[in-house]
Amino acid sequence: MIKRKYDKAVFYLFSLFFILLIGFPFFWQVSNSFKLEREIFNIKWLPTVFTMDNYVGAFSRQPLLEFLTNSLFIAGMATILALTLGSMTAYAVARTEIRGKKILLLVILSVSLMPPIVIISPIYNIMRAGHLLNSYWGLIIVNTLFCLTTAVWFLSSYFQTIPMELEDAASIDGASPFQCFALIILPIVAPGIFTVGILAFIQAWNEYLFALVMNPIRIKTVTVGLKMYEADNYIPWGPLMAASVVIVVPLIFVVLLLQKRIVGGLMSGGLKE
Amino acid sequence: MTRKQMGYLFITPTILIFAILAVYPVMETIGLSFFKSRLQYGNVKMFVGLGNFGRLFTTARFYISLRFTILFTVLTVSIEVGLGLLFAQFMNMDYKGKSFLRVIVLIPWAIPTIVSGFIWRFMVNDQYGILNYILLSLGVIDNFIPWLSQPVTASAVLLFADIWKTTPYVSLLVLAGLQNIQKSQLEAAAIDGAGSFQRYFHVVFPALKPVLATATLFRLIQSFKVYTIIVALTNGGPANSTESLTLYTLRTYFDAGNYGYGAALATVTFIISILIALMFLKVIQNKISI
Amino acid sequence: MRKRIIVFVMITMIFAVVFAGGAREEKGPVELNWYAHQSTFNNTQEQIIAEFNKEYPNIQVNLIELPENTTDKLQALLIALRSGDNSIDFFNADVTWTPVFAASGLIENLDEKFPASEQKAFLPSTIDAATYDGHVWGIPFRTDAGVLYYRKDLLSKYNKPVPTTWEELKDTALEIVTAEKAAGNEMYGLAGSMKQYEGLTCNAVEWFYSNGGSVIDEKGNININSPNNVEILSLIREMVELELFPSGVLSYGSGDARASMFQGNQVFLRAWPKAYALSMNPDNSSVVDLLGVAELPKGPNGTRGHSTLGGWQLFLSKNSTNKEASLKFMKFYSSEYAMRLHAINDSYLPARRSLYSDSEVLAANPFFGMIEDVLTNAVPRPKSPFYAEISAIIQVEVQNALNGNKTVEQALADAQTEMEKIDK
Repeated sequence: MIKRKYDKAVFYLFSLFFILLIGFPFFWQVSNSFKLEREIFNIKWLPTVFTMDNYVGAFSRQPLLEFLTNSLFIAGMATILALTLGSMTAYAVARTEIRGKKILLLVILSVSLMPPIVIISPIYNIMRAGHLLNSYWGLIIVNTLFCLTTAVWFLSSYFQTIPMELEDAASIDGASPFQCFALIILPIVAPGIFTVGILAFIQAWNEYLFALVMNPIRIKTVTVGLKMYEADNYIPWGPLMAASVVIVVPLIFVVLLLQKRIVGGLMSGGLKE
Repeated sequence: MTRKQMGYLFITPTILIFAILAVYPVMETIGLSFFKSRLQYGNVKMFVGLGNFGRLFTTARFYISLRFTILFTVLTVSIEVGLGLLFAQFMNMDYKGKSFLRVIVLIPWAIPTIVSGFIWRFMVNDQYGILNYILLSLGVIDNFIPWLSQPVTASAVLLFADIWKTTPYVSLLVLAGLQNIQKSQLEAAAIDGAGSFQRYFHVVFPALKPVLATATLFRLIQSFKVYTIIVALTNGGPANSTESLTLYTLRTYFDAGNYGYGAALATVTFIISILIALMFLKVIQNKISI
Repeated sequence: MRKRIIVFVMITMIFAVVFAGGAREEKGPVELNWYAHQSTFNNTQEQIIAEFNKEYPNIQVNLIELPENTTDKLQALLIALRSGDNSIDFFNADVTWTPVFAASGLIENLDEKFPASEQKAFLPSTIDAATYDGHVWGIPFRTDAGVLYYRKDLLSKYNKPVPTTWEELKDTALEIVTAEKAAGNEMYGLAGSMKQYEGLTCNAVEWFYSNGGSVIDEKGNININSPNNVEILSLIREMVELELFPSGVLSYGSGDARASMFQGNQVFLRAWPKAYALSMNPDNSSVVDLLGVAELPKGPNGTRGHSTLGGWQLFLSKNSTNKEASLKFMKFYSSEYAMRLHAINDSYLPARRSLYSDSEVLAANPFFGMIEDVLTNAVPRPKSPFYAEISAIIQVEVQNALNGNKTVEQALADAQTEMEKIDK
């Protein structure tokens, strides 16, 4: 009996500590986004005077709306491409008898483990030659590469778990291989694909290194754009915190909405090889 | 079309992308590392064999950068996996609100690193940072600490920011492993008279090994390429004391315009990264098959 | 008859269309892309564009803001220019970039378009900074030189003259700081922009030259490791150890350095002239009208103080397809009108000599009167296509010396070795 109570207390104590630890930076970020500059400098827990100045500043000092739409489009397209190509590849690897599967998977794994710095200069040169710097598609293509590794990684195991009998039955009924893929398998894996899509989208959205190197002047993403608030003179913390709230809130909202899927996806993908 | 033919067709676009954007660039980087090539020389390239590597291994900045990167990697990964393991225990407890915890855990993982970096930078500011304020109020320090102005404290802040962001994710992975442990195994052990500690070491821990191994391997590789959090917090300072290998290489490429030497740095980074992975795999006695 | 009229009308129409179309091609609106500084609260850049459009309504100038930090500007510009497209017509360039861009073949040489006859109107140091390898590459529009700010009220309270040597500055600062602290006031002696970035190189070059030292000699040999440099850097380090600098000074940008001065807690400040205008703004400054401006002090072995020459110029991209139109704006932006506006609005130091005796300019910036002397004796930073690397080495080693990571002798010796390795 006593042990039980003790356990419960420990759990809730831990939860409190955990929530505080994770939540505090966000609390601080939000609180400061509503403060006047002098209150930011005088360190108060909560603003005594609520102001929306910082949010106005966030959008006026830098084209924050543009950054957001750029990121949305780039991450979105990259996700769509990665999911399409990823499902196709995962299907081929998990369910057909092509040769060279091991090598392909090895290459894909290596790319996800490789420090991106190794390929950044040649990719920059390729994009430069193709006039894709400071554009949407340059970054979309690069993000597709990285999201593709995630997609294939997670989707291969999903595709593997479906019994072959389903496809066998369908082909006996006269379905072509493509119809088996599109009409039988895809609908079954659809939830998995959706989950992986979320993971890929977040991955592309958060990308910084290539976004900085490839699009430093135009078509900036949100991650690169946030750094633009920083001036040599000083960092406008108010507007910066406001901008980061604007960036983070939709993400948190999406994560909360889709948390079951995300948690499920991460937890299952982490185990499989 | 047969299944096999369709299979080949399906993987073709992927192969193309990886060939052009990954395999070829790696080869080009390695190739360029044997040349002297700089912005200031225009398009001229001179073959210098191992010259760039010779220079690399006799440059103090490389060793400072390597030392920092390895220390950072080892410390973050060990703390994150250790804490992740600990936290997962709590998260596995069957009380109300445990699914809420699981969700909370996602949030640091989901936000861009650059955003969390800036928030931390604000919190450790030496004039109006909340961290200094709290520590001063609690009497732990006498004066505000200029966290980002001193090498040791700056590194500590970087470590902490990274741990804050990634431990939750690691706990989630370990939690998955915990949940996969068959209840029956635990019960059987209990019936056999094992106390909770014994149960832990003989049933839980061994079952967790694959998860811990995978998580550690991935975190090792990810930590080694650390870059974004440094840009947000210290930008490599003070005095290059927090300059990771990736940052050093990037500066060499795009600030100094020294492409050949940068390629050598990138190649060495790649090789060390592979070595770390191999070393780790050997130590773990191959629970993972590729 | 009708047929002939129809044919005649059609031919006329065709002629008209062809002519008009051709004419439109020549005089149509031109769009220029100007990669410039971020807008100030005065929007001076935009005002100048508007004024330009009064004379040239068909030339549209798109102002594209570069990142605030100078190193980030350089990175972004190199990436954009090397992509070979024509999206940049002309851009703002720091004085130290001339060798870098000239050697890379990315900009147009301006010997013909900006001849010596026009150059005469500009301060010689600005033309010197725009010159490399015997050619002139840029049109200067702004110059800069670090100066010493001091609290007039504090110096007179303690009956101290404005220091002319670094030793004197150290002693004065120490005395005032000690006394003020004893009275319970927070007080620091001096601050500068000493974090690991270009601002630190500017400060360091000033220290070295003020003591008769340098970084690269006239023949191009590295001589940063000299007894003079060791002497002066040791003096600065002593000041760090005496806590005359705020404790976080090694992570200060120019804004942070100004902040402690503007909050009233500092005796001296090393900053660019634009800090003067900022200090007069009661919203951000509690030292309105309390600051005096002086030349930087000299070292024990120096003949006089030297400021680092700063400043900006306009470069023309080789790949621009609108070079004639670009030059029109470039000349306008470096005209008296534009420079005067910037001087009055933003305390920018004009690159044209005439404006230093201009009554409007002097009314807004009284200390510009003594600036000409400072500018004449300002020293440029090391001229080299590898400037970025050289500056990076100075930044790291000076920080190592000041934060005690290395001895001053070791830091300068290492700087020497590293610099000699560049381009080997």
